[in-house]
Order: sequence, then structure tokens, then C-alpha cells
Amino acid sequence: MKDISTHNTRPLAARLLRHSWLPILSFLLVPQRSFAAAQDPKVQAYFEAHCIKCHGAETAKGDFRIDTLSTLVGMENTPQWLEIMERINSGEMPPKKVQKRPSAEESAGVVAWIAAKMMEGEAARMAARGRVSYNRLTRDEYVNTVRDLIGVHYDAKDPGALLDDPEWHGFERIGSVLTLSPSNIDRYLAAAEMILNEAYPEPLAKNSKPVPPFGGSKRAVGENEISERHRERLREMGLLDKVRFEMWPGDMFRNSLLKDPLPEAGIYEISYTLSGLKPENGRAPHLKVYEARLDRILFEQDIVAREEQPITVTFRAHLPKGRPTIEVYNDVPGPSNTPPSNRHGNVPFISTKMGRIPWQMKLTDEEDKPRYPFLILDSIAWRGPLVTDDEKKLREDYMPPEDGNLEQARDCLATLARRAFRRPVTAEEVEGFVGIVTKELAAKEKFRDAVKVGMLAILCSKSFVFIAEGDENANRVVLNDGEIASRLSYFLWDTMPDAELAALAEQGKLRGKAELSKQVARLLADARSSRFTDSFATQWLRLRKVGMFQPDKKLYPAYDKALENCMIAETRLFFREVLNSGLTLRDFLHSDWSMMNPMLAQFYGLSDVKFAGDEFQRVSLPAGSHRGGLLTQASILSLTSDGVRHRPVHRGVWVNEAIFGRTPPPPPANVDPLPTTGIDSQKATLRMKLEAHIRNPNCAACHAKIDPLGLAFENYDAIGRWRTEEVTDGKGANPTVDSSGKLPDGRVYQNADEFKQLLLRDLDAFNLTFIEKLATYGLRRTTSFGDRDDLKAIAAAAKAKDYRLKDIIESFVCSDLFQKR
Amino acid sequence: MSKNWQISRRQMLRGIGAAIALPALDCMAGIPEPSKPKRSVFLYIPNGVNTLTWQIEKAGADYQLTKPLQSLERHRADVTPISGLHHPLVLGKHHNCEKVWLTGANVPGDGGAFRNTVSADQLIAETIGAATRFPSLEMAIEGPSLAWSKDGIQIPAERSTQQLFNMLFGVEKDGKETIRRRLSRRGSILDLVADDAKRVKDKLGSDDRSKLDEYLTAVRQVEERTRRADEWLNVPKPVVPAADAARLQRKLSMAEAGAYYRLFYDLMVMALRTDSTRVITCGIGGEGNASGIPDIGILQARHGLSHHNGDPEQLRRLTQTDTFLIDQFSYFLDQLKEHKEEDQTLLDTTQVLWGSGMAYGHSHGNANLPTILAGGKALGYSHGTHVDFNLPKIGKYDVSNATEHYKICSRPVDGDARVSNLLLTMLQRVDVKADKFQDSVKPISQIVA
Repeated sequence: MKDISTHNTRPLAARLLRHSWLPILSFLLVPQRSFAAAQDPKVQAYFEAHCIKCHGAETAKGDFRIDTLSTLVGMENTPQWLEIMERINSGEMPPKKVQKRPSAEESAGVVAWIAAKMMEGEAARMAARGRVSYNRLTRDEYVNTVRDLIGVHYDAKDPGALLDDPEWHGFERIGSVLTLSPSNIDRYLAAAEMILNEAYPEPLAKNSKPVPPFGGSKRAVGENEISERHRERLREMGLLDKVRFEMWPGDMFRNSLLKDPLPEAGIYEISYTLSGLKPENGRAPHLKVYEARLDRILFEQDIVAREEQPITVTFRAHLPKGRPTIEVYNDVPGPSNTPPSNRHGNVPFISTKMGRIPWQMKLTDEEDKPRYPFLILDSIAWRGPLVTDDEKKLREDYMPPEDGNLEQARDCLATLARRAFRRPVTAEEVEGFVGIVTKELAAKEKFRDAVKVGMLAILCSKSFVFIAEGDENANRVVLNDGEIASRLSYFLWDTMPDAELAALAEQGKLRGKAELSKQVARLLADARSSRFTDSFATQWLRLRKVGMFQPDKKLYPAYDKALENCMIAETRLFFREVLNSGLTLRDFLHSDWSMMNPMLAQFYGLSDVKFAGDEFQRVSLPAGSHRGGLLTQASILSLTSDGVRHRPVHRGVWVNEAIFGRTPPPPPANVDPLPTTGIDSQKATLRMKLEAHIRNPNCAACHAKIDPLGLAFENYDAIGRWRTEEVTDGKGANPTVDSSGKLPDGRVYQNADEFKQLLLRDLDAFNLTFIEKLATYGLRRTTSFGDRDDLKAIAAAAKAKDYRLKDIIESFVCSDLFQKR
Repeated sequence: MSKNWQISRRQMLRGIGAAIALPALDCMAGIPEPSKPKRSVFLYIPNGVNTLTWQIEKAGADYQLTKPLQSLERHRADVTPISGLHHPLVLGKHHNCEKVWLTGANVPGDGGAFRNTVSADQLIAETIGAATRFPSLEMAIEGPSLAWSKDGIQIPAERSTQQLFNMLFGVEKDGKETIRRRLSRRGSILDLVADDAKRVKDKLGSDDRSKLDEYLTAVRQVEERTRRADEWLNVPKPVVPAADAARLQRKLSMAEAGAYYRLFYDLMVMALRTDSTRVITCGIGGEGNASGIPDIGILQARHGLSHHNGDPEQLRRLTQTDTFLIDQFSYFLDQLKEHKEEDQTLLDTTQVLWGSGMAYGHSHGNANLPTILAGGKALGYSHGTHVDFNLPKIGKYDVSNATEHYKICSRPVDGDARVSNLLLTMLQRVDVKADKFQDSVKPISQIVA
């Protein structure tokens, strides 16, 4: 909310050149102090005595001028006025060093004056809020909604499918930011066509014989793939059906398909039977099943299974009709897969004990233990397309049972429109869709196809692609029951309201807080609530930035996509655990546990942690682990780095935003470039270089509020590993890192642990920020001054429940704010 | 929606190279009368360059190309390197510079909501796009699209060479009538949903309409596209000779970066030769995701290299990558020169802008942007000099003093030397009626004959 003007306010001439702000030109050109404060003599006197000298035309300290701000305080330049209010209120302005400081009462008077103006402006703005707010479905919401509406899975991220959603400070569901372009419409049309074709495939011609069901299994290495020479030899030995496909690290296997192509688009169940040999102190082999044309990973998992006891892994994937391009990888670092290891040779693989071709690298050591992570494939099985009874029922709801019955078509389209629009529909709307069907019939289209075109129109209508709140005919500030159902359902499940919510809305029962509280509990208890925990954690904490700048392979050879996924999973699962186990906001700041799998624990160097399997599980952190809470998780430490170096300033900005809800002003344009250090100069930590750079008092003013929140993490490198010295270019020994710091309020810390303890003492500030983030996500809009009291009320309720996450969510849904537009 | 369109054989002939089979047609129209093609290509490289080895030190005609630019020597008469340009609204703001390279819009520095403005290529497409099957072509080797619509919405770029080939030259599986039926069905769906939105819009006050307006505008533009698609149904796509088709349909990847880059350039040349489009934007990499170049043994991503911290080895590699990118660009100019229409080469009718929105990547300095204008002699350009806006003020360059040169690359020396001036010049060269583009001061007269 703080679009700080500090660095935007440039000299008048430059501004006039850049923008043709003619309406305010006359105002700007008046040389007298006709600034806003003139509206009140006392306030004007205050500004003249204490502010204008530095923040006027002559000095414009910090590039910030008060005399050029709009006179409509509360209506225009609101962020600037809020900033002025906060600076005076905090005692930061006028600065302590000036001799003639205003009395506390004088300052309080000015603060009250600005605040009152803000209230007036806010009220006016609220009253002027559009009658209807339109929030476009995000890509995820579109997918979930379509699945619950028609029972079809749509792969929105495939090439050519739906576009990425724009974000605002990490949030991807802000209505005003989610734009809609012709490309969006184009893609909605194509998506709806694809979805409807899957729901209603071309029926078989009347006289054609039924197609045998698809499915079956095959050996990874079939008889006819074995060269003749070996085939006969193996047949004699009785080993012909024992041939397996061994996969070295990085190896690829292409023969996953059955003889027949996939008969329809849909969900298929695919199984691989295989062994996975893990070297004693190395990584487990990693099965990755990849669709190359769709550029989609269908499945991946570490596989550990003894050679003679293969296991079967099964997963489901949504695939188009025809022959998919499936590539199976053993996706783990290891020896190069190029010659001379030449590992497959021509000799079919039976077992590691059967020896090797002389020029091949050794697979096992003297004790028959695997030297590298191997996968050994036996067979593949397919089943599908799988359509559940519920999905079948949904699809049938919208297709008239009788061919050519237009009355039935009308009812079907009305049902689809009502569910798709998440509200009652008018007869006029339904007639529009029926009209399309009639038009298609007139063009000699088949009845089923004509009805599908009517459905297509529904899926491209504004009422489907937008979640609307408000009435076009009247000003309405509170949500109606149907709108509450949608808001709640998209908040916690990322999808349209289910039958129960829809029924409650119809009965007008969703305004009651007791009912809402019951529904929150029901929605959170359902597995679909993981959509909320994953996506809220991702957006609040900016997890999409993890891996945005690929860590340098030379500096961080341990980093790969699998590790990156583990890092992100830790944070998401951590959030889920805090919610599900009834924990509090304190755990986000510091905890004695985390969520890990063996790979991540190994990365963190926590070799003592014992795991039951490869899955993520809650682990107790041993003393001295240097972990606990969100701030020292590898994901957060990576996303605030640039792939090469850790970035203390970025880390400070992140803590400011995510924990305290403050967005520091952007760096001014035209800062001098960071000096580079030659390879022959003395080694220095990034912190040392930064501190030398930020001597300039203009920079220091802002950086004093940013950097102390980031320097606590100097002990963590650009991918979040613990360190005590910084590896850097230059001469001499690597310098020792310094992770001590001093907060703007004077409190000091020696390291990240102490820093976290200080944060815990600011729990109320974090509480309010967290609730703001939750509200931004849930309401699909930024929170503003007008929401303050509502937010504070929720914060108080949260505090009364000891900051328990589950209770915070309930308090938010049951708050007045949740029912307001 | 369907009509009988008239199109002249002569129109079909223009812009199509002699090697390419011409469709025999006698009835097409609805498409503007033939005009002499005026073409534009915009190519973007991310993260800036090694400005120390890049900077050409002398202005005027007797300038010396620096090491990374050597391959442009053979194109000297067709290129103008330009120094000293910048986008005033984004100084010091990084990682968004690709978004505003062709728009010059302001980016909020605090991560707040960003709304772009229209990109220069789209203004051109609006003026001359109706003459070709594709008003403009958006592609990217890596990274995002450079093109932004009038509403400031990004127009997605195609990154698959296969898809590009199919779009430009592929034959539709379905027959003409089936496609026409599909388009007309689309038309009636769009009509209906637009009417529905309009009904509500009329009830709302003018302040409340923005999202609905967005929806309606989008629907209408898709209707317009549908109408265009219907018009062009009567004009078969150009037939590319089998050998070219095979070459253009090879499956390559960044693992063989050089060949992969040249495939994109070849597709662009073919799109221009066949007059399939006259406006192309191509992102050569995104700020955060431009891969290394295995061909020259550099596996580091360009972003990492640009944060060289003064390390001589990193700087050397950055220069090597710059050289590689310019080599590919020179190849593109070669190809454009190779194809003649009447007495002009394709390069003569094509203005090509190659550049970055970043100069000194290590510290996000984005003044003195690396910029090269090429081609378009027939559009009235005069090439052969190095146009430099820094020298009049600084006297001379001293790249041996890195810190000082980095300052030139971080703060504009001449506040009036704006990329928008160049974009305005380019707009005017292809008949876009504009006196101003974004924050332009005036067109760059030095490059116009």
C-alpha cells in the first residue's frame, strides 16, 4: 500500500516534460506555499515551521516535497500523506537533530488532522466503489472449477493453454491486477472446446462394433527388442522374460507405451515395476516420468528397492488422445552417460551379479553394493481413461438424454449456467444460450454438437470467468449469501462452492457466524484445504521466486531441481503443519521442528535425523541445527539471493514485507554503481562492501531500516547452507561472516537465533501483518485505511486465542470484513 | 461472415521469393491493395553487455568496431551502433527492463502493480498489419514476449520453432468449409457473450466499467481476429520448398545454441520473405533465464555472468557471449541481404533494432544501453556512422577506468537521449502517424537520410 513518493518526486521541470499533467499545471506553477495544509491555519503553521524548509522547492530532502502534494488530502496523494502522518507520528520527523522541535501535542494535532482527512477520503472512496467488482478466475481456480463443474481435468499449464497470471507483491488473485486480453479469450475458447470434447466424445456410430477396453502391461525390454543372437541364448537359459532395463544416472528410457494409442483424452493410471539401488552414502535413484511434447513432469519419486525385490509405483496422469511422448529418467547426478562407460552395450541386462561387458564401468563394489544410484525397470502397466461415477453424473447433468429435445437442452443449459455462474440465472440469459443451439441446428449441426456450442458460450461468459460481487442495479456494500459461499470456497478450496455451500447460500444461512464457523472447520478438514495452505504460503512468502535465478552450477553443484522442490515443499508443508496441528504464529518465527525428507536433511547436514521412508515428515531439530521457523529455511534464504551471492538487502526487504507488512521505498534512480573488487584485492564479505557503499547519508536513511533485518542471515549462503566464512574472490583467507546487527529501535542481536527471539517479542506487529496478508488473499484486493478497524478487531480476536493459526482463519471468515465488498 | 473475396495475383506475388511456389488464385480481396512492404524486426538481449569491451570510442564514420562487434564489419554500410540512449522512467530499476524496452513505461520500484503501455511494434502492426496474414509475429528463443497491447497487456510469444513453422506455413488438417463453419460458430459465441456483457455494462456508472470494458474489448478483438482469419482462408499459406521446410522443422534446443538461434533467424527471414508478416519481435532471452552457450564452452547463465563483480574471467566470458550474440545477429543480416525483391534486398526494406534494456548488469546500470540499428535503407535510413550522445558531453571515453565508465552506463549523460526517440524514428519510417512516443523528445535525425 505504500507507493512511496519519496523517489518519484523529481524536480518540476522534469516532471512536466514527462507527463502532460495539464490540470494541475497551474497549481504547480503558483510559487506561494499554497500547499494542502493551507486548509487549516494551525496545520499550515506547523508545516511552515517544521517541514517546508527541508521538503520544499529549495532543498527537497530525500527527493520528497510537501508543497507539491495535492490539496485534496484523503483523496489524492494518499500514500504520501499517510507516510507523512506515520513519520510524524513515530517521532521520526521532524528529525531529532533540528533545534526547534514541535511539541508532542502540536505533532499529535497534525497527525489527527491528516487522519481525519484520510477517513473522509476513504469513506468517499468506499461510497464510490464500483457497483460490481469483477475478479477473474486465476489459472488454478479455473482448473479446479472446471473439474468440479463438469468432471474434466484441464491441464492449464501445457504449452498453448492458459496464460500465467500477473501478480502483485506475490499475490496472484488480486482482482484489479488480473487483466484480461484477447489472448485470454482466445485461450478460454480453446480450453472450453477441449474440455467439452473430453466430456462428450464423439459417440460410436450405431452399427460399429464396440472397441475393446484399453490397458494392459508390457515388459520394459520386450522379446523383439533383444537382438537375435542374445534372444536364443537367453531363451535356452530360461531368462528371456527376466531381461530388465538398467538405468544409470541421467539415463533415459523411451518405451513406455502399449501397442495401442490412448483411445480418448482423460486420466490414465500408469505403473512402473522397478528396483532402485542406493549407494550407501549417496543419493537414491530418482524416477522421473516426463511428457516431452507437453513439457510436463507426470511423476517423480526416489526409488529404493532391492534388486531382487522390485516394487511397483503407480500414478495418474491426464493425457491427450493418441500416443504421448513419455520419457523416463533416472534423474540424479552421477557419472556421465556418454561413452566410454557405454553401459548398455548390446548385452541384455539380467542382474548386477551377471557381470558386465569388460569396457563398462563397474556397477557394484567388492561387496556387491551399488557404486552409483541405479534404477532397474521390469515392466509398465496402463489403465484408463478413468472416469469416476461423480464425474459421469456431472457430465450427464448437462447433456439432454433425448436426441433433438430442445426443452431438455434448455433445462440442461440452465443447470450448467447456474452452477457455472455461481448464482441464479435469468430466463433471458438461458434463452441466449438456447438461441446459439438453435442457430447451430439451423446450420445442420448434430444435436449433441449444437448443445455443446451452447455450453461453450457459458464457459466463455463473463459470469463464469469473473467472480462477481455486487449488483449492477443498486449499491450494495455487504455480500449476499451466494457471494459469501464463493468467497469462502475460493479462499479455502480454490474452487466453486460445493453442493452443501450452495444449498446453505440458497437457504440464506451463510451470514450467521455460527454456521460460517462450522463451514470453516468442514472446509479445513477436507483434503482440498491443502490448496489453500500451498497457495497462500507460496504467495505470502513469494515462493515462486525460488530458483528464478538458477544457482550457479560451479558454486553450488549440489543444487538441482529435485532439491529445489524439496526446499519449496518444506515451507509449504511447514505452513500446513502449523495449521493442522493447532500451532501458533510463533512457530513461523521460530520452532524446534520442521518438515523434511532425507534429501533435505542431508542438505542441511542433519545426519542424525532418522526417517521412516523417503516421505516428508515432521522432525525435531537437534540443538545447534541453526534452523527452525520460516526465516532460516533454504527456500526463503534462496529466494532472497540471486543464484550467485546471498543478498542481505533483499533479505531485509523480504522480512520487512512478509513479517512487518512494510514495503521499503524503491531505491532511487541514478545510484552510483556498486564498485567491483578486482581478483587481486583483499577478500571482503558482501556485507563489508555494502557498508562501505552505504556511507552516503541519503542511502543510509532507508538502509538503516532494511539492512538490519537481513544481516542476521549472513551465516547462510545463496542456497541457504550454513557457513561461518564467506567464499569470495580476492586475495587472502576467506573472511569470517558477521551476523550481528542493531534494529532501528536500538535492540541488538548477535546472530539469527537472537534475531528470531527479538521478532517473537514483536508478535503483535507480525500478527497484524499476517492478518492483512490473509485478507488480501481472501478478499482479492489490497487492504486500505478503511479496513484498519476491521483488521484490528480480527487481530484482537487472534491474540485472545493465543495467535493460533486455525483460530485466526476462523476469526477472519467470521469477521465483518469478510462479508463486506 | 463469409464473403467472396477478391485478391489480385499481383498482390500474391509481391514479397514472395522466386523460389517459393505461388498459389494460383483468381479471387481474393478484403485485404488491402498491395503496397511496398516496410518491415520491422526487434531483437532483445538480456542483462546488458560487458560495457568495457563493448564501447565504441569514436563517433562518426571512421569509428572502429570493438572486439565483440567485429562480425558487423561486413555490414558496416547497413548498421548504426548508437551509444548513450536510455529509458528515463526505469533508471535504476532492474529485471523489468525487458518489459519496457519497446514501451518506455514506468515500473513501480516497490513491486507494486505494474501496468505497461503499448509497445512500438504493436503501433506499427496497427498501421500496416492488415496487409499480411499475421499483423505481427511475437516469438522468443528464451524468456518473455516484448510486445504489449494498447491496454498494456503482454501478447504472449511463441517459443516453439515447430509451432511457429506450423502457424506460418503448415497446412490445416480440416477443409476450408469446416474451418469456415468453426469460425462462424466462434463468431456467434463471441456475439452472445459480448451482448451479455454489454447489457450489464450499460447499467453501470462509467467508473465501474473497467473490468467489463477489458472483457468487451478483448472479445471484440477476438471477433476481429476471427473475421480476419475468415478473410485469409481464401489465401493459401505460402508453400515453402521441401528442402527449406525440412531445415526449418529441425528439432533443436539450447544444447546447440548457435544452430538453435539461427533456426529462429531463418524462420524470421522466411516469414518476411513470404510476406506472412511485416512486424516481428523476438526475445533472445529473459533477464532471469538466458541459458549458457555450450557452443563456446560457457555454461553459466547470462544473468550470473552479468553479475561478474569485476572478476576478469567472468568479464572475459561475458565478452565471449556478447560476441556470440552479435555473430548470430550478423548471420541474420546476411540472410536478409541474400534475398532480393526487385532491385532491393530484404534488408533494405527491413529496419532491425537489436539491443538490451540493461547496460552494466552487475549493478543494474541501465543508461547507455547497447543499441544497434540495422537495415531499412529503402525506408530512408542512412547508416555507416556510430551515433554517440555521450561524447559531446564527456569528450572522450576511458574504459580503462571501469568505475567511471560504469557510471556512464548507470546515469544518463544526456537526459534527452532516449530510446523513445529511436522508437519514434522507427515508427515514422514505416508510416505510423506519430509525433511522439512515450517520453520521446524528437526523432534521431542523424540516422535518417
